[in-house]
Amino acid sequence: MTITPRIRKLLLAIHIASSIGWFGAVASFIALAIAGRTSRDAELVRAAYLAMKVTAVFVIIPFSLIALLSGVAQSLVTPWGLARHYWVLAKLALTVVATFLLLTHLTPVNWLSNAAMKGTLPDYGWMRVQILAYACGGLAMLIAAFTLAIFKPRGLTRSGLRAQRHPETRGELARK
Amino acid sequence: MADSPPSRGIGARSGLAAETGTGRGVRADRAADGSPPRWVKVSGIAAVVIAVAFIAIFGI
Repeated sequence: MTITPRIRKLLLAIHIASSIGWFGAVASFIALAIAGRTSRDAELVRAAYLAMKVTAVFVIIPFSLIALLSGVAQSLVTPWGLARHYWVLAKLALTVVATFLLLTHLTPVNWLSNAAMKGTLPDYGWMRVQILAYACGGLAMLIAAFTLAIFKPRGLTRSGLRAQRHPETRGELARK
Repeated sequence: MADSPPSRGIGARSGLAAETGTGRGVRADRAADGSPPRWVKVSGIAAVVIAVAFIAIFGI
C-alpha cells in the first residue's frame, strides 16, 4: 500500500508524540510510586496513589494504545512492513508486552487508590514494591523500543527477503 | 545505480548480502537466508532470562 508523504509524516508524528507521552507518563508514575513507597507523610502517600490511578487511566493507557496502533499502521503503509525486519518485530513485541503488562497491572493500582480514597492504607508493602518494579520494567522496555527505532539494526526476515526480491517492492526497500 | 551497494572501498559488500542489500560483509551473508541475526538471538535469550528472573522475584 502506498500513501502520500504528508500522511506518512502525520502517522510518524502521532507515533512519536504518543510514545514520548507514554514514556513521560511512566516516568511520572515511577516518581509517584517511589513517593508512595518511601514517604512518611500519610497525606503525600495518599495523594501519590490517587494520582497514580489517574495517570494510568487517563494518560498511560491511551498513549500506549495510540503508540501501538500508530506503529502498526505505519509499518503496514510504509516499505518497512510489519514482518520484514527483525527490529520492527522486536519493537512490536516489546510494545505489545508493555501494553499487556500495563493493562493487567491496573488492579493493584486500583486497590491502592481505593484504599487511599477511603483514607485507610493498610500494609500493602509488597504490592507497592511490585508496582514500582513493573513500572521500572516498563520504562526499560520503552527505552529498548526507542533504541531499536533509532539504530534499526540490520536483519531481514524470510518475508522481508521475499519482498525485497519482488521487483515491485525492491526499490522501496533499497531506498530505506 | 544509486541503490547499488559499493563494490570497492569503504562500505563494500560481498556475496549474497551484496546482491540482496541486506547488510555488511560475511555476517550479513550468513543471515541472508532469513534466519535471525546474532543480535536477535542474544537479545531474545537475555529478554527471556530477565523476564523469568523478574517474575520469580516480583510475581505476575
